[in-house]
Amino acid sequence: MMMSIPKAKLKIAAAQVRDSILASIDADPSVRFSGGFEISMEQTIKVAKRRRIRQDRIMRIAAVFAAVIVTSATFLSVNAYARERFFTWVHNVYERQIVLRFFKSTQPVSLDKLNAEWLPEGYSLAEKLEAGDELILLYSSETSQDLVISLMPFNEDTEVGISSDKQIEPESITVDGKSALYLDDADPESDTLILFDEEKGIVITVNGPLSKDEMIKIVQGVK
Amino acid sequence: MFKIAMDVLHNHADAEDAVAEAFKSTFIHSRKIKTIDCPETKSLLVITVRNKAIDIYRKNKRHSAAELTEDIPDLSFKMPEDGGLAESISKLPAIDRDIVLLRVDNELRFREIAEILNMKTDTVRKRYHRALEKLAASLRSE
Repeated sequence: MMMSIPKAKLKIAAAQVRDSILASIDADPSVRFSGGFEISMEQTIKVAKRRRIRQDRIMRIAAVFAAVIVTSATFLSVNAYARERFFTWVHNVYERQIVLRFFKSTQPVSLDKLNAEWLPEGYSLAEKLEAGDELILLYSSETSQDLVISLMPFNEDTEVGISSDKQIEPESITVDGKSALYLDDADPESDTLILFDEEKGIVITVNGPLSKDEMIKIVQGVK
Repeated sequence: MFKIAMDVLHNHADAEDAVAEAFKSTFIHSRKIKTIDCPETKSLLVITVRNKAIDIYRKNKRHSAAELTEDIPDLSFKMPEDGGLAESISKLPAIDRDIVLLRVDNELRFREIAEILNMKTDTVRKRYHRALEKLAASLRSE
């Protein structure tokens, strides 16, 4: 007969094993890492930091979606198709928090085949990282802050939990007929553009020290 | 972290690659990292480093995953001697122990565990449930 183990008991036991493993690991102070390793770790830290910044931006973008839900009530009441699609996208709205889920039916293109064909002068690809379903492209410049482009597919696993923050008013724009949000941050080095490309089945996010026009050119050049 | 990778690879450059990959995987990929300096994150790094090292070893030697269990020694650690569940988890094969820890202690999804261990999600799910059956059986036999 199958016997199940209480979850709490299992968690306590797993923590005991984890602590035993950690207690057995000794650091080796004599280790000297190579220059290549140091560079690789610096890039990891940069991307991780940018990623946190971008997630923070996305949190703020909740304000836009919350506003859209209110202001588009008339539009949604007369357009059943738009309403259906809109509410497939936005499943849950709780005052200042929303959960975005993307269309299940959209078949995303293969992300690793995508590249930014246009970049501002001086930028070159420094790192290409796969983070689950997400592809992150980090571009460096000798004279300016890094630029991060993120490509994520629409699918049932793509879920973004967002808390509203009224400090920033993102701008809803259209790029070649596709919906996008532009976030003009107080920090001019960290503006963000998010493009929802339903044709390709992906969300493209650009974060960096660029003008809105430059960011639009970048997302237009992602092919 | 470096020592764990070196124990598997015995090569400085490869061990550095394993550590760098593990940090990327942990701090960029994982949605679960909230605090860096906590036992759960350290444990996640340990498991990730070791498995990244095993991936590199596998690529270098062109070994299959099945062959590796004999080639690579398990982590050396003092097993809890409670005669109960913790001891049983410690005695699981390394890969199953990693799956149980990542699932139960780190609360990762099967898909995320599969990415860390370079396995199919279904395989991870099956191994997890089989490991729980083994653990339940060991408790029954006490």
